[in-house]
Amino acid sequence: MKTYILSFMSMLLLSSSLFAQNSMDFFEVQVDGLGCPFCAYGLEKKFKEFKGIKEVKIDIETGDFSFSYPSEKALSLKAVVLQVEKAGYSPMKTSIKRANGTTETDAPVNSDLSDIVAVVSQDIFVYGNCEMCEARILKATSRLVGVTEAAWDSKTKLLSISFDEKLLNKDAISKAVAAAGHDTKTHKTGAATYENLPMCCKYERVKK
Amino acid sequence: MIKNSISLNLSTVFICLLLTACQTKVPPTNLWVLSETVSLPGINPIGIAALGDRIWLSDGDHNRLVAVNSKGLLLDSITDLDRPMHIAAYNGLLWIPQYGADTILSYNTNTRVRLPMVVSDSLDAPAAVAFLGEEKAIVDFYNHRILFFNGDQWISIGQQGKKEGDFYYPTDVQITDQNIWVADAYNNRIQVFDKSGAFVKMLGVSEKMNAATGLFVTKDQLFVTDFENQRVLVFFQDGQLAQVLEQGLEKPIDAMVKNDTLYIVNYKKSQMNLYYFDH
Repeated sequence: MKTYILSFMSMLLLSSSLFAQNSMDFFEVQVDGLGCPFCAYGLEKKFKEFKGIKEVKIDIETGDFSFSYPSEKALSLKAVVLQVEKAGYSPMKTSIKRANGTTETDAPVNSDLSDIVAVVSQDIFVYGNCEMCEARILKATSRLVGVTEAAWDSKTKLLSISFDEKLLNKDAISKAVAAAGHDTKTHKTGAATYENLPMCCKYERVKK
Repeated sequence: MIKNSISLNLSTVFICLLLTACQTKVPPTNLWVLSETVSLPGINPIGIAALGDRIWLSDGDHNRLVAVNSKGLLLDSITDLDRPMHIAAYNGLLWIPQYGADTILSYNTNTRVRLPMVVSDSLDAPAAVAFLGEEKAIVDFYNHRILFFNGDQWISIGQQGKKEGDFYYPTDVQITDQNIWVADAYNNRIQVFDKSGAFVKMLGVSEKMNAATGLFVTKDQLFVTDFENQRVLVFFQDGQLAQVLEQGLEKPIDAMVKNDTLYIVNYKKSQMNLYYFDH
């Protein structure tokens, strides 16, 4: 009898444990540019404050950020991306493994650039400080249809970018970068967007 | 005749060698000189402290502290921490600010007993802790302030801002006989206060630092890690720049002087640089 009770209790514990695991959605976010530990640990810390969040983990070296969240709250992929961006970081790829077994992911924009014939390369001066700035600037440019290559140098502050001039121009690129939080010579970031940047990214603004 | 000639030639050679030796002798520079680079594989150091003959490093990325010898050999470790930052050694104990847990732990390396420090107020991401006699100071990162215990009571110094005496994400602190020195990291400057919490002076503003993450003060000099600019600035205590260290630095984050050796830890490069002072 004692053996039966023990077996029953073990099964109950196991099933409740499985149920607990299955009632959580698992989120994985690839965050780029986690160069500063104060910022990176801050991201982790701020997410830990979310009610119901469990198993918050961040691997600074790889930028892999993951956590579990109660499935009944149906946290959407878009909401997670927005939350990470609101914290000033650049999510490169986000995926969810739902408790019901389904998966969701935000596939990158695959623009058909096979017909590109008019690629030009230009340099744009973009204000910024660090690796996180670099990730944000490059993410802003990667969203633009027509960009074939981009690199930003934190020392020279130059964004070297190649793009199809039939699809894009320097002004549109500058505008997109400014919208992401980084002033250029021709476009300024909104005050709220600038204020929302992580502390290491708050470059010194040049007053007009 | 031949003998005399050989003797003369040898004398000439000897004098020439002597003169050459005198000419090539490098005069002292009164500067810090890189003497050794210690590789720390698998360690991303953030803070450094010396306890006894051991160098302790906080490895925040891996939630641990490690003790290494001067060659970088792992001697001991303390695990299960929550993002340990700029540590201190005081009274035979290690003091560990846990950024992720909002606590300061004391750790006895002999008994392995860890105890929380009692603080007058709640912390939000403690980034550093410092001691001098009965005095102690804590960097309260997200609250943009320093909590200072003067031996009698805790006082709060600073608030978020850019003005004199304000902080914008401070990351390190040290107490000296007269003053409290603060690495006001994202205001890119060092601020100095007296023991009542009154602002005294700021340093490093004209050097255009980019994240002044760590500091160490000696009797004569101040060392500041300029994290994003990959350099360490050495100041005289009046604020005059004495030297800029750049060679072999990548994301330098903390500094310490012990037994006439300057130690600088590189967060991303998993390295510790050692310098001697060329008197």
